Amino acid sequence: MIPGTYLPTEYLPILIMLLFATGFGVVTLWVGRFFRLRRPYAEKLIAYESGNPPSAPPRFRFSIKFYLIAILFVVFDVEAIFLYPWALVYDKIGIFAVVEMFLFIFLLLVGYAYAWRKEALEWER
Amino acid sequence: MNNINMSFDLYHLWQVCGGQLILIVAGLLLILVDIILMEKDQEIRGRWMGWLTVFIFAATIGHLACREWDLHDTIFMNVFSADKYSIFISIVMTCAGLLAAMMSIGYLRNNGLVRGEYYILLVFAVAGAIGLIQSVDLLMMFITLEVMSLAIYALAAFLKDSSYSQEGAFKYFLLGSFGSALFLFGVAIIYGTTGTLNITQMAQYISGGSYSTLPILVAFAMIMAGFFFKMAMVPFHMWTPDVYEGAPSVITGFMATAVKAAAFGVFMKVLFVGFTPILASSGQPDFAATVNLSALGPYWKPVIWWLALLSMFIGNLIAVSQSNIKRMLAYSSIAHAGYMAVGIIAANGEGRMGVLFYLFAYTLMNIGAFGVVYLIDGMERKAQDLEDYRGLGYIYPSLSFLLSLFLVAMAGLPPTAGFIAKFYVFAAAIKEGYFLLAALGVLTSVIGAYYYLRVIYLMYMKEKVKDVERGPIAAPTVVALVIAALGVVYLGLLPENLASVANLAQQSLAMIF
Repeated sequence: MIPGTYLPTEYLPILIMLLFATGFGVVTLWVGRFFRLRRPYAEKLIAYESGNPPSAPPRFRFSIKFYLIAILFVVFDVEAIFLYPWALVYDKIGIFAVVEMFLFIFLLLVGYAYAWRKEALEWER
Repeated sequence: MNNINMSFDLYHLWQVCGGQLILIVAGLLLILVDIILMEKDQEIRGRWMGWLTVFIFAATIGHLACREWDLHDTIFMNVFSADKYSIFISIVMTCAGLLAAMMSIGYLRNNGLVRGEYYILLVFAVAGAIGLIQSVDLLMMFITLEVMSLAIYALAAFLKDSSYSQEGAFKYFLLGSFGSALFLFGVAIIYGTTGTLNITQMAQYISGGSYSTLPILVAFAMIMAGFFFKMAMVPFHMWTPDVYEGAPSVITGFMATAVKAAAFGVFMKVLFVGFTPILASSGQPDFAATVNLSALGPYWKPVIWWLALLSMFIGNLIAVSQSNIKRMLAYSSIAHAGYMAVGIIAANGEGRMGVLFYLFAYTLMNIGAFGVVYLIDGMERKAQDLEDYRGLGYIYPSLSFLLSLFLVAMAGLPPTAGFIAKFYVFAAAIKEGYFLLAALGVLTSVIGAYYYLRVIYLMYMKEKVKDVERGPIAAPTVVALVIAALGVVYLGLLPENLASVANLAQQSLAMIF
């Protein structure tokens, strides 16, 4: 390869996928304009919340506990997601992959022990 | 897939990444120690965690200094490298961590917030910083940059009840993420254009003909901007005063030294290896073609010229009008970033050596100054105004003497390390013909001398107006302050040893492979 002439062609499918996904959303919404009925009246135009008229502004302070739970969920969810590709190829990589993954799980286990001991998993403290 | 197995060797890993390994394993152990000691009372917990952290940093420095110095090697398919350059900066950062940990033992006790997380985050911040300086791969640079930054964001917000700390940390988080995003975007463009993330291969590709095309220049500018955020150079310095004022004093000292050292170190690595013809002089035929990269000089040199000048002027000028000493030192750290950038723009061996020397000297004097500030403070924000320092020279003579020493060093007066450091970077700039920049730089350090010496003037030549009660002084803080003070004087009197080591370190930049 001549230096400086590299074109990342193997990423072309991703670009096509991106264009297609964007196009699908935009085109369907746009085409829908020509077919759907449009008869607005006052009740139809108010903000919609589970079938009830909204009773309060939606922006109020949530308890910090929700964020804590969400962060813990993300951490352990990512762990689970990493396990899938590993499970597909670990027999090809061999002992290295097993050690590596158990190291990774051990790191998270320390975090789990920490979260548990610090009572981050308790809702009422 | 086979080469993963082939290139993996535990001893090799220990040799190349030993410093990082010690810190990561020790950080995990600290987590466990913290949860084991949870039932114990604060005093015992603080002492155990603090001293363990001090021991960990000392062990890391010992490992880095004794074991890896002559090694030139890479690991994980050229992701991390061990060379004299990265070891030198790793030692600077670990020294900052060590001094900060020693001071933290007393600091946390004085402020009544002895919590284990503090030390754990400190250890992981240094681990990330060492990873950052060791990485040759742009993506690993981003990951380790974030490892370091996330720990620092949390440490900056450590004073939970102080709105200053929260405000500063949040600003730091937002602007720091913005800087990281700029860096990452630049890396993405580099990868899209050259097809590699390794900075040496990137240099080869770029010098092969695309050096002045638009994508490369845009990516170069974005990567530089991302680092300028962390280095607190002038147009990207907005977060600095608020964060440095709000964060716990010891952490401010750590941020101003370790994070700056990491940012400057990795910036010089990317700039000189990736975008200048330094590799062409390595003697390897593969890199002979990178001599073309000198064509990029006209693009980055004016940028750094102006940023250095603006950092020196704006940092020093605004520092004059500050009434809070931590805020004053924050602006002074912006000015110091400008002085170091003068060494980078020289782009010769002396300049790089000067920057490395400057980073070490600055670490000692800045952490020392913040250590004294926290002692005089007693409790955070009780006595941080310059007015509180009136007449302190007669009430607390030894603390005032130490603070005076560190401030004199920052002002760049002989016989301290600050003078020698400034001398090296300005001499390098003059050698390359940047007379105007050097002259203006010296001019700004005169402005700097005004506000540094004003503190000394207030301490020794004014009557006190307010009763200031310092906090209790912990033994490790005294040791840390004495080490810093001796280092500042030693480097001022006998700089040759460190300078020759720094020179070896900067030479090894050309020999990453």
